[in-house]
Amino acid sequence: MASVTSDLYPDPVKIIIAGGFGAGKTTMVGSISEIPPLTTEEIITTASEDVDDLAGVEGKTTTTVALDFGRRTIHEQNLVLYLFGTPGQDRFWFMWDDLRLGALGAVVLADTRRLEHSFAAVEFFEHRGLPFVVAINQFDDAYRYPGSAVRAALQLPDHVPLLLCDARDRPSVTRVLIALVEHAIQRRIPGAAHHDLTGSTT
Amino acid sequence: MTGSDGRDDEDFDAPRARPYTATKGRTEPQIHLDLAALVLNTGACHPDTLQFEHASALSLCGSPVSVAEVAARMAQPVVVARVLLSDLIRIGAVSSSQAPSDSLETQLLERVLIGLRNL
Repeated sequence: MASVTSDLYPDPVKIIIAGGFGAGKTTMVGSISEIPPLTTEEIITTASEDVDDLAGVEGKTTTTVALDFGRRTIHEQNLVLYLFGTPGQDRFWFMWDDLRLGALGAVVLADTRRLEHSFAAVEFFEHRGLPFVVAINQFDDAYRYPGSAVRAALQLPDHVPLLLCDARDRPSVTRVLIALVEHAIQRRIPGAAHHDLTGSTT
Repeated sequence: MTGSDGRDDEDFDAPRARPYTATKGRTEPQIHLDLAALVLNTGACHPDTLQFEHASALSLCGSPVSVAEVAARMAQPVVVARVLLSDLIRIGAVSSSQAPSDSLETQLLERVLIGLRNL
């Protein structure tokens, strides 16, 4: 493959925004994106077993998953962040390997009124070893549970950061993304017990 | 399950135009392109020499743009954009960036961190 000069292209970075239906994923994508969120879809082929493979297509089921995404260019670092919001309660995106492979990590956006909607995403990222953080979207009419209660309810391991956020607010969403990247970096430090990479720049 | 907000996911199953018409039935791109891989018009091919679908994909690649964006702006599934862009890469009309690697370099993560902190 022909090599491409790096200054021609920014480095693309994929971040997944997952969580239950109505948790505010598209709002979160829109808060950070420099373009109005776009929607696209993919046709996923899943192999189904115990069906004779007669012509190479039988025995497979196709399903369509949609996703919203936004883009944020960071010129100073020659980067472009792509934030992909996975669809509501549709779990077929779990089969979309291309969404996950090469992703920096994921934010599981949770709504305390419907915490159970976040279980599947938490379980999925935990299982696949993708760095993720859980962000509680603070809806105005939602009861403010203490973080420890939320962590217990989600059976969230101690090493997974849990934050509060306002998905409508760009600085708040930026803080969530910073926490995710810090977490992803910390996971690479063997035996590290760093909890304070959050210090402001000196 | 019935959520309190109703069920908006139903329309994923709605009938739709046959998606592979634009690719003449091809469903496998010849070159793997990540969702977030960036593509760019090299200027080597005049759009008039291309079929409509290829020309319309090419017209979206004036500046580095992701495969996902090309798909969204063409209102086509990602796989269709992949097939068309892979064709365009093969004839030299489009070049592509490196895909995000399976194991991201720590240095890249640090650049993301600095970039986000300075937003």
